[in-house]
Amino acid sequence: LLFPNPLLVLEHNIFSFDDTVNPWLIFSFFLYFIGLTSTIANKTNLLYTVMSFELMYLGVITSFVILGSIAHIFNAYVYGLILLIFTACESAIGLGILVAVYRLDGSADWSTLEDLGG
Amino acid sequence: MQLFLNLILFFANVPNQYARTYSGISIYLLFATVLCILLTSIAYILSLSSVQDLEKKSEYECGFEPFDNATRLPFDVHFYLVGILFLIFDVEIALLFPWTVGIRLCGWFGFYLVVSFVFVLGVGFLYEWKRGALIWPAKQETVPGTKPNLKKSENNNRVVSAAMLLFLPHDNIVVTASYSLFSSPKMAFIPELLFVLTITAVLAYIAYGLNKKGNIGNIALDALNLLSCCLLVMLFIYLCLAYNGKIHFLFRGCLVSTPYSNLVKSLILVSGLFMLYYSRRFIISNPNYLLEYPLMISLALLFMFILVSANHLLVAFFAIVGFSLNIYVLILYNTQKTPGREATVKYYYLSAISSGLMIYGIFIIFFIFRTLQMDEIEQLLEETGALNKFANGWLLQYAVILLLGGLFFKLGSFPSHLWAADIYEGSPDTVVGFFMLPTKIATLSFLIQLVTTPFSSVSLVWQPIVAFAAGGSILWGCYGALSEINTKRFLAYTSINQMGFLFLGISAVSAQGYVATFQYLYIYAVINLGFLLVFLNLCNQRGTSLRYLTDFRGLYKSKIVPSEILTFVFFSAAGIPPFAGFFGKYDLIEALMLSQTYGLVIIALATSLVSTYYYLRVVKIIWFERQHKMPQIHFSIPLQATTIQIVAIESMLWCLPSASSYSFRFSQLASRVIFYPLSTNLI
Repeated sequence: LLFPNPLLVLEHNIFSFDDTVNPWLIFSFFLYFIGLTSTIANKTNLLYTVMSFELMYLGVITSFVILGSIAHIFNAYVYGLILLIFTACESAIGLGILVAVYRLDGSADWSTLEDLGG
Repeated sequence: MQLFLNLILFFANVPNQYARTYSGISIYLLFATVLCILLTSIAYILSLSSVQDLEKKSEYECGFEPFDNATRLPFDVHFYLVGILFLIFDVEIALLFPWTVGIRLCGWFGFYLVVSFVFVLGVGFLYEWKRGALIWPAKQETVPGTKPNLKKSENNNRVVSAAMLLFLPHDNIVVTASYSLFSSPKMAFIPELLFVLTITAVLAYIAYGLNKKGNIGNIALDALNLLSCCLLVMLFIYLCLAYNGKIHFLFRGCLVSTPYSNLVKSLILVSGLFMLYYSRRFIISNPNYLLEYPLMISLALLFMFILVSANHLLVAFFAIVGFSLNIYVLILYNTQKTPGREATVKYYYLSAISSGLMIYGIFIIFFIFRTLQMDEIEQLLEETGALNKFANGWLLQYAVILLLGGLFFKLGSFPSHLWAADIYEGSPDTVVGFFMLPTKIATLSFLIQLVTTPFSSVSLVWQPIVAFAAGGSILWGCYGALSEINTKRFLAYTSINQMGFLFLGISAVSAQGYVATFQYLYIYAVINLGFLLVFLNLCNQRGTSLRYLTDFRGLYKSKIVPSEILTFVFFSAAGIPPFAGFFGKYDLIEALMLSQTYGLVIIALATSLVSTYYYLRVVKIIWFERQHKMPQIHFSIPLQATTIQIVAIESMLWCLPSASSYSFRFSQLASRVIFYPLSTNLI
């Protein structure tokens, strides 16, 4: 089967504490965390924001893939792939918004947009 | 060749047993390298090169004159357009790679799926082409687009109106059809399939119309009518499936069709249909700019249907991201340019952060349970006494906080509510309705499914979070709405407040609480629909919508029916006894009392008293204040008045269930259906 039935859980395929200190998972958590902090810190240019989202999602994708490889779950690879696609869609829409804002406003800098004041 | 390979492997210190397995890939690498070198050298030898050309010496920008002596100054924005196209098509090709690996395992089913995928992609490409998105550089269109020939589209209009009036009240057909037609599991997926087909057909139709240089306004209205008709048929099927009362698992349990989900879908559909139908005037105002508007709304609705019937956390996440993607574009359709842009950027930024939080929460859940199917997670939690086994639940706690945090953002409730007022103000009017009704109904129903299906046995983990959000959003919504005069911001704050009331039932953690939540959800939908239908049909002397609440002054003089409807709606929202809102709030507070969460009861009662002030303020403005310039109203089609009256009756006569069959049927089914335990049906 391409998508193995998740009900057939393998015997070694259970939660264990050793996985939480897996260096690769920690690495991908750091990727995610760097992306998140840079998203929150950079509120100037829309392009920085889009790139930070990419980094954030990249952390999650690598987490899925690494967990798939250490716990032998095939589904996790597919999740990573599908996640990649939605990330691409999100950043494409982000770039679209950037182009629209740029055309109307003359710059992609959105720190000056303060009409609504919230 | 083999000798050469062995040499390479020897120098690379590769152990001999790998040589056989990797020989294929080494040949491939070698061939690629040799081919590259060969082609480059041939090109180098054969081409005519000159060093004298000035163009070749200067700095090179892809196909452009270099900007400003090619210093690192702002980039040309055209590159982003190419980037978008590249990103989309590249990634869509990536979707085909897993299929190439498992081409034999997938069989004909996989083949048909891939063919349909490529077909939809092709239609999208055709549309893009005919719309002129691929023209380089993009033409600056100064012509606002041709106005539609209204006489021609009026006939189609009447057909849709008649169909709407026929479909909504009659439920005898639904009951009979539900037992004869819709009992097989294949029928459970029919409505979504139909919707996808219709959307593709509409895309193709628009591309054809643009090719023929047809009247662009008529094309947009035809697309809207076609999608409305499709939604009506889907409403019928959903009601049938809800009546039939069977549970079907689809796509290996990724989606589930329960009576509950079908009922919620019908509610989403009705509200979305109204929003789609009433954006007619908005679309006519600038048809060239708003050609994709009905398609965007339909796609968002499709993702919402998937969200409601999701039984897999990742599917639910994709559905949430999917409808957010459409909403970004919908907000940008605001005709007042600056606030629309700002609202889009803000919503994009905040929404992407919230999805980022949610997806990490989902990853942690996957890490703990090694599965993302919601019913399986429930089973695992019930079997093992989860809190002890899974690391005393702290990991699960983080996951639930992240997941609920993301959902709270989409619902606009307390900890992440600050976006709501700004973004409502910056959106077009119909999109505000879309925010308030279908989006929130879908997300809230997913929240209810989340806390009832996977996390029903760990209510200790999520109950405090939901209770915190409930109390906070009730208080904040009440505080914000007290002194607000902008209509859309007022709507935002009242919806935050009502969202808090909806959370009250969830934080009661009892069957009664969930049923009360669902009933209040229905009342919430009806109340806001009533207000929005009046709001969308009113306009100033100048033709703009009534931006401030003070614009409603003296409405009763020009039109009596809408002012009566608004009065009913606001009495109902304030919770004054003969109206529906009272019974909704009463049920919620009763459920809270029974589960002994008295703190929330006190907050709810106190703010309910305060909220009567700001609702009655609007009623006072309508009936007791005078203005020289009367607001105008567009009740051109009798259907609009009729539907508004239906809404008014629904909001008024909740206490007399037999008077309005739809609401009665809804509440009855809801209370019966909401607790279908999913896990009992598993083999």
